[in-house]
Amino acid sequence: MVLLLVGSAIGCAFKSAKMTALHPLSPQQAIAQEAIIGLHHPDPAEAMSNSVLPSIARILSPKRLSIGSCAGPIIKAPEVILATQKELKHRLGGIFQHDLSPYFTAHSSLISAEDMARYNAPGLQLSADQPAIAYTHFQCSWQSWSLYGLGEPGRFQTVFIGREISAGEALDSTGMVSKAMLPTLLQALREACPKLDLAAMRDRSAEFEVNGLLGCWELDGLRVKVGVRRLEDAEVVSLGGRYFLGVRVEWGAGN
Amino acid sequence: MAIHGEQQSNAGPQHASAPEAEGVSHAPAPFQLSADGASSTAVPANPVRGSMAAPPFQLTASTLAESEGETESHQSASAAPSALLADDAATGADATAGGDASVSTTPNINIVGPSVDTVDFLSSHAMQTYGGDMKNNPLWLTGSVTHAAAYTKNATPNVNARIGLGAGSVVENVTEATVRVLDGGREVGRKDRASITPTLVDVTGLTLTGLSGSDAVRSTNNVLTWQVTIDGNTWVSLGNSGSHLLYWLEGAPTTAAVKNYAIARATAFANGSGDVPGAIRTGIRSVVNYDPADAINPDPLTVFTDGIGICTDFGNLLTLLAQSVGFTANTVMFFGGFESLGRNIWISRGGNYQNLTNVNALDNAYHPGGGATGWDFNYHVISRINGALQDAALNRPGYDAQAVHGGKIVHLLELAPGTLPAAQTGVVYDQIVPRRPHTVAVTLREYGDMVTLAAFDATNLLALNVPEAMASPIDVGVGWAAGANLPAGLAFDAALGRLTGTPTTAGNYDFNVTTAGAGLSATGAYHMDVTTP
Repeated sequence: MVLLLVGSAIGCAFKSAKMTALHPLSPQQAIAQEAIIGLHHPDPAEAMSNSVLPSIARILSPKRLSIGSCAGPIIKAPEVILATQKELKHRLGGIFQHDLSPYFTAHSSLISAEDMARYNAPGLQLSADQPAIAYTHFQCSWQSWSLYGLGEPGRFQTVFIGREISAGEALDSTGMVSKAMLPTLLQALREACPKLDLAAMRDRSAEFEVNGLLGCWELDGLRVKVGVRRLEDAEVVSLGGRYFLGVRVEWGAGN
Repeated sequence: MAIHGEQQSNAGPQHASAPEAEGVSHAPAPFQLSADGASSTAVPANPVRGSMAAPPFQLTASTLAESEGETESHQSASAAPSALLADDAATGADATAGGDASVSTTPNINIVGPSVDTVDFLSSHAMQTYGGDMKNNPLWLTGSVTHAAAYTKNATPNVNARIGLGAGSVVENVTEATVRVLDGGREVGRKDRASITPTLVDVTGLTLTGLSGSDAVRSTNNVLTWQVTIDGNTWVSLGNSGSHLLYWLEGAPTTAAVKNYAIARATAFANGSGDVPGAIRTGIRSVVNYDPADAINPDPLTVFTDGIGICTDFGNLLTLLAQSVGFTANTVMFFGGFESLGRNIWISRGGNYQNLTNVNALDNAYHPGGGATGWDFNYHVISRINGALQDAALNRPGYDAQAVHGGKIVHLLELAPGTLPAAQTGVVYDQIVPRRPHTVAVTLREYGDMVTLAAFDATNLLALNVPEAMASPIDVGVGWAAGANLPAGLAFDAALGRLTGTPTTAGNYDFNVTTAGAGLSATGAYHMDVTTP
């Protein structure tokens, strides 16, 4: 009897570990850049900028989903990474209760040193965002999903969960974005971030066209937004044949 | 007889732009001049300033040369000032004989401690003060720190002036005199019949012609020297006025609520250049750094305070400064795409909003990192000044750029209404309803005084992210709908805008087709004939 109970406990633990198993992100799973499908209204603040260099404002642009990598110089700031992990655990729970530190890096800037150098010329000036200590970034895989996160503890956090989907899953018969995969995505979100309760949040989904966002919910400065995008590979620009489905959870920086 | 007065003001030239404390009046040095031309050796303990003995004048040529010093002003040695001829004839003998002063009618002035109190520059271009620049008052007062006036270049300002005369000044038997103004030692204006009393010289409507620096767009600080005469020969100093901060503009400002600060900066940049728009453009770029990610300043002049701006700031600021000094100017945005249904349509590189590439300056210094390659932009804002394009951010005239998807054809919402190919009953028909083709190109759109953040909102802008390798034509997915009166037997595919089927009834058909997307819609009227084979 005792053995049976122990065996049952071992089985539950095994199941839980399997559900929350995190792995390094493979290049095939990378979701680096996104493109909104079809004609759309850009966020004025993002469109006004004549630079594609990352900034907090651009990262938190209302329709932006993916996070990608952080090109800023890597620095050692374990205490900042720990603070971000605590923030994610508190807000999201689920897989963020586990130690994700192997997948974290800390960065002194959002912008690469190479890009910064391009502005180091007379008459040019780049007003780049600066962290108090460091920005934190993580990327890994969970189940079939790619996970990314970028933030600065106490200032803002963004978490992205997404995966590549087929054109048939991404688009309907008119060539516009399909809602077919939305339930699958929301189920993954519930498993990954059980502390989120979309039902308790204000549903702003109707404010967006489907190619902008399939859904958007807000509560107390926390925002959840889901959508489908064309997947843009930084190295090879596809002919529009790759798509992804993703959810972004974000808060802070004035939200 | 002796003429007592002050130093003649025909002395050496003064520099109009020489820095001087504003509002300083320059007191003339005393001197005495005898009728025979010999300088007096006696200087009164209490110098008698500006004293001129009454006619008859018996001045020698040498006297005149010393007192007048200007060939064109020389008069016959025996000539008396015309304004005084009557008095001269009637009283000359008594005056010469030193008759009873209490009954003398001989004109006589003895000016002590003159001071130019006010000079009012009339009909100048109005200016509002801005920021800490308080110089917008065309009325100059001694000690004033708010004085400035703006005129179109080559203008001849009319001024009113009041010159106070010190206690002890004597003005007898004369109520009018001639006043002249020198600028840098050169006469720039003269007014006859100026009112003169023992306390005041009052000048109205004196026209200043050829003021130093007035021939081009610039700012000047002119110091004016004032003199008076009652005989037309001997000029007595009334002191100086100024410096007068004068802005010389291309024309009347073309913007409402002209700011003095804008005029000050623009005229300083222009500084007499033959290419004023180019000089202002270069001047802005020399003091403002360029940041393609900077936020747009709602007030372009604050860019000077920031010292940093996005291209829109440069375009807005250059436009404002050009308007402020009298040019016709507006802002211009260009981008890679086209206009459709009143919106700018950006056809962007996949994954971001870049739709322009190789946006080049003439000088590599204005490229990223000072390299040979120009910028990739979402858009670029420049100015059109008197019809010519000026790019302040990249400091160049005109523009040089390419659209990322230049030359590609895009089918968007707008339809190409007309007659569709005819059909026959019993014969399969398959026709996509045509849309208007748009060619992607560097597209210029004219704006007004400013390009604001509103230029990027939903009412002005739509974007289409297209992979760079995507082939032309690019058929953008939109929603379709067909109206009533389609030929019997034909169906409309609302996903693709396609008419398919087999017509069953001959006839002439007119119907509408509508497209919709991104909150916009377009309708086209189509005609179709169905005949019997």
